[in-house]
Amino acid sequence: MSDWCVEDPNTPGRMVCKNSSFFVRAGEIVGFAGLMGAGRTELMRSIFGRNYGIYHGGTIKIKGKEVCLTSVASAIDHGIAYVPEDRKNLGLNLLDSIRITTVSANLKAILRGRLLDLDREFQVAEEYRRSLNVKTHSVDHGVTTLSGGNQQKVVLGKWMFTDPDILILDEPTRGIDVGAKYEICRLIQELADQGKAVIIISSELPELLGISDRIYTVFEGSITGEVDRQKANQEKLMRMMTNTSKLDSNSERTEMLYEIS
Amino acid sequence: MKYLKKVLGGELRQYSMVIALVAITIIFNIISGGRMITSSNFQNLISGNAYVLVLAIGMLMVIVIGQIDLSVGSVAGFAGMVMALSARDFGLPWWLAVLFALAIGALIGAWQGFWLAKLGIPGFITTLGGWMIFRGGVIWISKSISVPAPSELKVFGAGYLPEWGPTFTGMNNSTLLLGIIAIAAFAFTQLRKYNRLAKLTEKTEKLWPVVVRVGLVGVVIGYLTWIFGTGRAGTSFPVPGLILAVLVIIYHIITQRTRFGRHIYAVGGNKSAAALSGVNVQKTYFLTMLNMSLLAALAGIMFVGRSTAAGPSDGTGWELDAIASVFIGGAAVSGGVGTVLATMVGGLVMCVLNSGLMLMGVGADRTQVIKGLVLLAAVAFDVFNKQQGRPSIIGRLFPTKEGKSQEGNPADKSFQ
Repeated sequence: MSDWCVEDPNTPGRMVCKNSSFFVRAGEIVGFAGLMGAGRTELMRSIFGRNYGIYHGGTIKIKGKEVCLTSVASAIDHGIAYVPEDRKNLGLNLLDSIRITTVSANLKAILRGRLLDLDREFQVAEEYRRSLNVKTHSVDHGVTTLSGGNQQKVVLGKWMFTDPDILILDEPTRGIDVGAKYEICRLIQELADQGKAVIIISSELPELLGISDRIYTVFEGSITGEVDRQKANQEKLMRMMTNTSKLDSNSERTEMLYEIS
Repeated sequence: MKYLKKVLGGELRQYSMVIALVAITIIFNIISGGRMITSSNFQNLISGNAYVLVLAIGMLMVIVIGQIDLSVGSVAGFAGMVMALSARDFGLPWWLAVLFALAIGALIGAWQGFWLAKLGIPGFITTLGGWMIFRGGVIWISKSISVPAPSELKVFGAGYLPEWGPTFTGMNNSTLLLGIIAIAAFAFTQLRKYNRLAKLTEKTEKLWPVVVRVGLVGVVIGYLTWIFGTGRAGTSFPVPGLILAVLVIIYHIITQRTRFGRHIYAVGGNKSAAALSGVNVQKTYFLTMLNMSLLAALAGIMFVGRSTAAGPSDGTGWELDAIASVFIGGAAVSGGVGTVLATMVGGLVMCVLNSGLMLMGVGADRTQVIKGLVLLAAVAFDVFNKQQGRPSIIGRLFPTKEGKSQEGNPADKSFQ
């Protein structure tokens, strides 16, 4: 279904992403491994409506059709959702209640005429509260009253309500407790089973190995490798992430990397 | 206390300013020997302050997006002068002159919005520039001389509703009709809210708090209707007040029930998060600034109508009154918080203070000092209230079981 690639957005002078190409199939979970600052977040945010950096070229194809996503709104319209890593600064408006947050990325869906249907809003928020098991008494409570894991669930619910085909999750399990982590991983699996393409950025290799079908590695703004889950292990990923294979002249791994790039 | 809470609808805090408003009105009435709550004083209060409250509506939206507009007074003066001049020198009919002035207002708003949204100049700087530009502009185009305004405009600035129907009611029937409509509308919305809540949560709450609430508000509106309706012959609820009421309803709906309204709060609360949720931040900034200047132009026109002439110093200092109203109404300087209705209450507190102190014979100098202190006190009260896990001042005055448990363990509240 989906097969797309991106090249080259950058900040002035310095290319944050260089000639990166990758694809994700529907129903597949693809992991992105890399060191901090490798350019994974920047790559994803530039895909998500050119929210980051200055666009320099490259194309995105969804379902074989080339699309031009110049704003976040158009990216959402094309079925992309992006859950940022920085929950408090980028993911949530901390002044909002849970119900307002849940619908905030897809207000169109609760419009009746030109006005917002507040009953519908309440129902939607309740529905996600129940299905995601958010621990709160009422959806009218502010999101600040929730713990990190529950906040993350609310953010996930907000993006699930936009009914995306492609879901990009940036460090979805950072800073939350083990129980919520487990719930979120199970949820990601469920979403993939529903036929959504899921992209996960994570710095925790064991978690990435556990959940992804395929893993790309990113190093200094470019994609340095791609491995299937069966063939991947931590050591191998770490080598690709840090690109030590360049120094390692005689290994098979080098060959594999060059084939891909 | 528990019953009082139920009647008011749970949230006592949001009524604290209303209670303060009622309290100071009554106190002033006692001190001034009954001269505060009279027909003519209330009529003057509304028609003499409606234009500042119109500004406050727009200012609320600007402050919610986390900006500030210092230019509204100058813009109001400029638009009023443009209207007076275009009617006198180009011979435009009064309604065309009004439309022209509103268009100029929108254009000025687009200008400010351009600097803020497209070039990213902070609103404070953009509008500080506007404040000078349009104050200078109004003096320039008027050559520092007052210009008489078309007399038809007096209706908008200081007019009264027409007298009609039977005389046995003993009051102005237009006002009576408005009062009845207001009570009916309030009762209707309360009942609908009650029904909706019952349907959504599937548990029926008691009906009596709703009935008591409607009854109380009905009595208050009825009393106000009577005050406004029984003034001198030919007076009624003032027309500028009616314009204001219509605007308040429209903007209440815009801010609470439309996508644009949600975007305003989203941008003010967290700009980056709003952008990542598909909100066009620049467009929201632009439209809010445009709307502000449009309302400023309207306020200028209303003021010119009231004073029958446009002067070169019209609108001086209005921006500060509007900003003060918004903050007394509980908005946050950092943006994202505040409502139109609360702003109106904040604005009315200022008006009542002005009027009451004047009745007591307090000079303008001391009035200013008192208004400044009230602003500080109101915002301090709000800040104090919003600190997490702390019972409100009113909660402390009337300790309940819930209140005590909160005091015992401040952390409880954040998990409720």
